[in-house]
Amino acid sequence: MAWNLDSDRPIFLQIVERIQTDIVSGRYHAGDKLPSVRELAAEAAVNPNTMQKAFTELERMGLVYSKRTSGRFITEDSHMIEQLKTSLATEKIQEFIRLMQQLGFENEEILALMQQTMKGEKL
Amino acid sequence: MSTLVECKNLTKKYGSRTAIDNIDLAIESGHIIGLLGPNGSGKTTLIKMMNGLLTPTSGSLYMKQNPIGPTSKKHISYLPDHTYLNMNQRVRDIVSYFADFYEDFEPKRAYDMLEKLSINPDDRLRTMSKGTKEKVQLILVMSRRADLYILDEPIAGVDPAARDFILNIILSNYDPEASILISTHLIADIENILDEVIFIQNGQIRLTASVDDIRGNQGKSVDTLFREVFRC
Amino acid sequence: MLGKLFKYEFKNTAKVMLLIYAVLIVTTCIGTLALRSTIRFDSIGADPSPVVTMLIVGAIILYILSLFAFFIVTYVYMCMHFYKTMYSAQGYLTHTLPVKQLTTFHVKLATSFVWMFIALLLFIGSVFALLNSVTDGEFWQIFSQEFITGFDSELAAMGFHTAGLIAQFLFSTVLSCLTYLLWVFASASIGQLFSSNKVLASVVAGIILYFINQTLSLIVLLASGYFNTIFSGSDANSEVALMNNSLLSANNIYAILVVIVLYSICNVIVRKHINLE
Repeated sequence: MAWNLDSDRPIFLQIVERIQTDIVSGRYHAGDKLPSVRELAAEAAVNPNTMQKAFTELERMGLVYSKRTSGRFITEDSHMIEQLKTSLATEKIQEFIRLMQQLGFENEEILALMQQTMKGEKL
Repeated sequence: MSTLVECKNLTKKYGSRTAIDNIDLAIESGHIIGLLGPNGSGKTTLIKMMNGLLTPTSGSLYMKQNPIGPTSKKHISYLPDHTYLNMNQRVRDIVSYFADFYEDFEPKRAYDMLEKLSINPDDRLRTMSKGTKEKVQLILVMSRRADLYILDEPIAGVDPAARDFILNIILSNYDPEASILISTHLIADIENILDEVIFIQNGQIRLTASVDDIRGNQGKSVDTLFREVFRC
Repeated sequence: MLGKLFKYEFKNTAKVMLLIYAVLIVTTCIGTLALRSTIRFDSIGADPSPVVTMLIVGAIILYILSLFAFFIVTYVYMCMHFYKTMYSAQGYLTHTLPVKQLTTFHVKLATSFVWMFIALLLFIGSVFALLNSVTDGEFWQIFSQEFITGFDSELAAMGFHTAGLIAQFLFSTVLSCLTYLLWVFASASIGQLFSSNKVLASVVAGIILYFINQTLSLIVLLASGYFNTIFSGSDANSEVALMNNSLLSANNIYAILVVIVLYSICNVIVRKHINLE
């Protein structure tokens, strides 16, 4: 199944984000081997060149490293994965707060509403 | 990375009508390039000249420093915009024909893809539906290990499922050392697989750009940009 | 590559051509049987029923018609095959093979020529076989003895030689096969230069080429003194022979020129002006 990609942002960035999410969500574990560029490009229905570019970016960030003959692996640095998890979460929360502010909510109201909603869900 | 095709001052006239107007263009290896333009903009004319089916009126056209001829044809795999095979032949015969003439043709890949599609190689082309014929042609073209694949409107008039299948065949056979030039006017359908685009209008190049640049710098999809550039 | 081109060219045309040849052979057999049976009826003084006579006459007419049809069908098929594989949709494949376009053209010309030439030999063979069978083998005897040895001395006196005549016959056969093929090939090549109505343009080009050829050959006839001798009323045998000889050679030279011109048209267009719009 082709990945769902936006058409107004560079695809390699969207792939990077998606693999980041897969790492923090535990779909890929520290030290896991990644599929090859070709396999993943076919799965995502994107150009292998674009997938290559995304991998290069992930390597630059240190999330992925490559062994010369055996392929690419997720970093074994669990501290770095934790950091990534936090920063992705922060990004999402900031985005959420921005949206809520657009709707006219103050920070306290947002917090209260969130607590209420989460309780409601538990029920 | 090297230059595959180079046009300089390339012009093609049909009588008094100018189909290609003094084009300078270079196609590099290692890219999937969209040749995008409205109907009648000169896409097919340009492609036919690259394949030796039309003779330029003036200007030069080289493939890896060679003029268009036997050497260039050895390295270009071309899918025309309509069916072009002998309809009386069986798929198997056409496969061996391609294998005989194109050194870079890999019959095994062709048979694997045919099997995946459950197309019987002993069937004759004329017994097949239009869509199946087109798939057979694409399979033949993509079973070569060419330097440049030129696909003229490969997804025109097909349903979304067939389109996904076609894009899948193209991508799974693409060797990143090679280049693919895809002409189409259906941009939204293929823009996710392109890394470069060439906009062509009235026989002139309006724009050449990388897709990441268009998206990253302008925050627009290629389709949106195309609609802006070619707004009537 | 050349070998492969020939292989596929013959393979693609063989089915139809062998069928055409087979039809000729069958109709030859039918024609022979029909003729022999009339002779048999005559010799035993029998009077066959009208139905049988009708059948026999029908078979003979069928045979004669098929002889003509045989040539026309062979020729038309070769021309259609050429157009289809060079200038219609199939041309996209023909012209993107990694071979010189001129080489492809040569292969098509040579292949068509071979089929035409074999057709001609079969045609002659068919007539011979028929005559031979009807005359219980006498025809061949007469032909071989009288024509090749007997006539030889008489003809030689007139300045002809059997070997020379056969050579002349072969020569003009080869030339006319080539001329007819190249005439259509050149017309089709000219026709494809046009943006639309390529088939119509080819037909018009063919007609124009035909009239140019007719006009020029008339001029050649005049120039070779054919009419002069007719009107001067000279009737000496030796002069007739001389005139015939010179007429034949002038014709030959003209025929060679026609082939060269038609070939050159094809050559230039195939090399430099392929136009598959």
